[in-house]
Amino acid sequence: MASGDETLHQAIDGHRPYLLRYARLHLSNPAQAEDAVQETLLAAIEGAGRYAGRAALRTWLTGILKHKIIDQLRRNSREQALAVDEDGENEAVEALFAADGHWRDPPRDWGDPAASLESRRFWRAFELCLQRLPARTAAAFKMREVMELPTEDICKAQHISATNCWVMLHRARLTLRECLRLTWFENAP
Amino acid sequence: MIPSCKKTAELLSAQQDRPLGPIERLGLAAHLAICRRCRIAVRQLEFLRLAARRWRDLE
Repeated sequence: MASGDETLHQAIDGHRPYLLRYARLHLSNPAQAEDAVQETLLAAIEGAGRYAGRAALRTWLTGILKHKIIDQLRRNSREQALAVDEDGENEAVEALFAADGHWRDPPRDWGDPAASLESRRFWRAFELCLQRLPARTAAAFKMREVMELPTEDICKAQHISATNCWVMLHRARLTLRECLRLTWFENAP
Repeated sequence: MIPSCKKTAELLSAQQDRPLGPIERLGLAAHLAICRRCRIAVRQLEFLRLAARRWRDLE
């Protein structure tokens, strides 16, 4: 093995903690997250010849990992009954508005919300709010906002139509917004 | 017709995922022009997107 290869393999392995954290953002099952990272590292080492150094190594690895995560999410979504968690979610959104379509609890200014991004406690609240979302809704939101995938890829992974995908993302955003309002912006611990 | 707050919230979310049609755009603009609450919601949804990306990049 050429020493250049070995250096690259070490560099690849050095990104393992980052990749694992990234995988865990999407896969709540730790074994699935581990597997996705392991497969990514193997694929990267096998395909090292194709890594042309154009993108940063981490970006290249994350690109491979995204595919592994999506494959896993696709397998998971096949196993989950489609309707299970969605009715409750719809009710939660309906409850935000009165019958005439007005906000029940009108949005109030959050001041400078970006300041919260520096607070560890904010991130705990954020993660708790994400965990409260139904699994598929959370997965769709994270594919959209964390992986920045276009909605058509999310629909495919979730086996749903584009319209259902938009509805799911809308519910995710409104529910998260409401959760952050209640647990952070208006009642910070 | 000017959309309700509920419909406006749907449009605010939709525009993060797809281009709005001309009628949707007009309705959204008309509603936001008269509704301070939904203007606040716009900023909150933008914040949500920012937070998700920051969360990803936290070390």
